[in-house]
Amino acid sequence: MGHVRVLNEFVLLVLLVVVASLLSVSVEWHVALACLWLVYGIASTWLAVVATPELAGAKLVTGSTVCVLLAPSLRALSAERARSTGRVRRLVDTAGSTAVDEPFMLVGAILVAAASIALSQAFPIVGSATNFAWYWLGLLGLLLIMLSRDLVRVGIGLLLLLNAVDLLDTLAASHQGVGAIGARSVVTIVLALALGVVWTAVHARAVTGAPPPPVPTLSLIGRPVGDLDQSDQQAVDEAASQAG
Amino acid sequence: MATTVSLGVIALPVVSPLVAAAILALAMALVHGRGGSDGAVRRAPWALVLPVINWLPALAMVGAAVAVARLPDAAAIPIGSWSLGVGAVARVQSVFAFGAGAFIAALGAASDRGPATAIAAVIASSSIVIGAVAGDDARVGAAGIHVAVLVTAMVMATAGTDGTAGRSGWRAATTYLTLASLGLVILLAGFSLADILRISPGGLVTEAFAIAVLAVGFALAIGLVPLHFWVPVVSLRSGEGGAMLALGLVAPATVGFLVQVLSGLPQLGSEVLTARLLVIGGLLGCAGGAIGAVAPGRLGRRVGYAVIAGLGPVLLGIGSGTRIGVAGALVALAHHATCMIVLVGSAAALEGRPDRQRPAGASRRAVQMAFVLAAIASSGIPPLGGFAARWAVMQALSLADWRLAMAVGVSSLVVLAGLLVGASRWPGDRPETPVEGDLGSRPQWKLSGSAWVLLASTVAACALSVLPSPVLDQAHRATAQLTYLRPF
Repeated sequence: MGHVRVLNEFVLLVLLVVVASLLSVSVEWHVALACLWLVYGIASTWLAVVATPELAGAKLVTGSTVCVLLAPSLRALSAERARSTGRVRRLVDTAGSTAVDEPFMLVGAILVAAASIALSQAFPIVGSATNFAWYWLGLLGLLLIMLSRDLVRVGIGLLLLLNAVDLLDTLAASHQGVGAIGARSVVTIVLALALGVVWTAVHARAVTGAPPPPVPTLSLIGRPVGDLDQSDQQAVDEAASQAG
Repeated sequence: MATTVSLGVIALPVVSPLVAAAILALAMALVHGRGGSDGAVRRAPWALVLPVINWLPALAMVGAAVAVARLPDAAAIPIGSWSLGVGAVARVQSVFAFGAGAFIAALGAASDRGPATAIAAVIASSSIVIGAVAGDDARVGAAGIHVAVLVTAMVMATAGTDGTAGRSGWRAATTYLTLASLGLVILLAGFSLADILRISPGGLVTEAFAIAVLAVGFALAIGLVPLHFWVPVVSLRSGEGGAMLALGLVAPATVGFLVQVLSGLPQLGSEVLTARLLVIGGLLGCAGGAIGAVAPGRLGRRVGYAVIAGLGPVLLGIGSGTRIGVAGALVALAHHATCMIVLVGSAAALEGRPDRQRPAGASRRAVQMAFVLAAIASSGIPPLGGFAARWAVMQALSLADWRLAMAVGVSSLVVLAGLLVGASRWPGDRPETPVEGDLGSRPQWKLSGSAWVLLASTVAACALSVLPSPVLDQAHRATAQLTYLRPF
C-alpha cells in the first residue's frame, strides 16, 4: 500500500513538473489556461493522496473557478495580440521585447527544478515529495513574477505562488479550520477576478487607440517609476482641457 | 453600556466631521442668502444636506462597530464548527477600518465619477473587519486584507477606462496588485513557518527565519522602505479612489493587522529581534519618507513618501514594547490614515488623475486649504490632532532612547517642509467657469461635494486634540490584552 502511494506521488510529481514547465513557456492562451487548470487538478489529486478529499475538492473547485474567470480576458487579450498592430504587444509587455522570453523561461524552469530538488533535500520543511512540489511551484511563480516581461505571465506567476504557499500551509498546519481554507479559496478567486479586470483594462485601452507609452518596469533597474511620463501628462492635460 | 460609551468616544473623530460640515454649510448658506444670489440660495440646502447624506454610511458603520463591540471580550461564540473570538485589538481594527472606509466612501459618493469608489471602500473595509473578527486564525485576517488589496487594484485598473481622462490607472493597478499580493502571500508562508516552529521547536525552522519571512511580507504589503516600490507609483499614477483606498485604508489596516499578529503569536512578539526589526523599519520609514518628500517631484509623489514617513512613528511605537507606546501607535495610525486620505485626495484633485478632474474656483481653494491644514496636522505640531496622536509614542520612545523621539520629530518637520514646498508650486489654475447671472468679480462659493468631504475630513484630522485623553485611554485598555508588552 505504501509502495503504491509513493508511486502515485512520483507520477503526480512528474506530471506537475511537465505541466508547470509548459505553463511557464506557453504563449497560446488555450495551452496556458489548460495548463493552469491541470496544475490545480494535479495539486487537488495530490491533496487527495496526502491529505483529505475535502481539501482536494476545494482545490479543484477553486481552480476551475479561476480558469473560468480568466478565460474571457485571456482570450480577448490573445486575440488582440494575434491581430497585433504592435500596440497590445507593447502594452502587455512590461519592459521591452519578448522575443527571447520562451527559451529564457525554459532554461529558467530547468534551473528552478534543480534548485527545488536541492532545497527539498537540504531543507525538508514538510514531507519529502511534498517539499519538492511546493518548492517547485513557488520558485517557478517567483521566477515568472520577477523576470517575466508579460503581464499575463506575471499574473500566472502570482497564481502559482499562491498555489505553492497554499500547499505548504495545508500540509504544515496541524489543524486547518474551515474559515482558513475558505479564506484562501476566496483570495485565489478574487485574485483571478482582479487579474481579469486588469487584463480587460489593458485590452480596453488598446482598443480605444491611445498611443502606447513606455511601460514602467517592476524591477529596480531602469528608469524611475514614480514620475509621470509624457503620455500620462498629455492625458491629464487633455482631461483638464475637456473639463475647462 | 460602558462599552458603547467608550466606543462612542473612539468614534468621535469619525462622527465630528458631520457636525463640522453641517455648521460650515449653514454658514455658507447664510453668506449666500445675504448676498442675494438666487442660484447660490437654491444650492444652499443641498450644500447642507450633502454632507449628511455622505455621512450616512459612516453612521451605519459606526453602528455596526458598536454592535461588534457588544460581543463579549475574548469569548468564543460557537457557530457550527467556527469559533468567533473577538479581542480588543480586533475591535480597534474594526472601528478604524469602518471609519477610514466611511471617509473614502463619502468622498467617492460625493464625486461625480460614479459610485465605484464608494462601493469598493465598503467592500474593502468590510473584508478587513470580517478578517479581523472572524476567528483567531491570522490566515483569515490576512485573507481579509488581501481581498481589500485586490478590490483596490480593480478600482485602480478601471479608473479612466471610459476614455475621458488619463489612461495610466492600469499601470498602478499592476504594480500594486503584484507587489502587495506578493507581500501577503509571503506573509501566509510566514504563518506556516510559525506554525511549524510552534509544533516542532528546534527543527529546521528557527525563530529568526520565521520572523524574517514575516518582516519581508509585512514590508512589501505596507510599502515600507526599502520595499516601498509601489507607494510612489500608486500615489502618482492611480486614480484618486484607488490611491486613497491603498494608502488610507489598506496599508494602515495592515499595520493594525501586524499588532494582531504579534498578539496572536506571542512567541514571536516577545522576541528581541522583532522589536529591533520594528525599530529599524520605523527609522528607515522616517528617513526614507522624509528624503523622498523633500526630493524634487510632483505633489502626488511627495504625498506618497509622506505616507511612508507617517508610518515610521507607528512602527516605532509598536517596537517600543510598552503598552503606552502601542496605544499611541494605534491612535497615531488612525490619525495618519485620516490625514493621508485628505492629502492623497486633495493632491489628486489639484494635479488631475485618471478618475478626477481638476476643480476650479472656490472648490479649488477649499481643496488647497484642506491640503495645507492636513499637512500641518499630520506633522504633529501642537495643538492640532497630530500632536495628540503622537504624544504617547514620543513619551514611550523618549523613555527608551531620546534619539528615536528626536528622529521622529525631525523627520516630521522635513516631511512638512517637503509637502509645503510642493504645495507652493500648484499646477496651473483653470479659469473659473462663469456662472449665469454673475456680474462682477465676487468669488463664487460653489463647492463641489468632494471638496466638502475633504474639508470635513480635515476638520476630523485637526479635531483629535480636543479629546485626546479618552481616546488614548481606550487604546491603552485595548493593549492590556497583549501579554508580551511591558506594563506601562
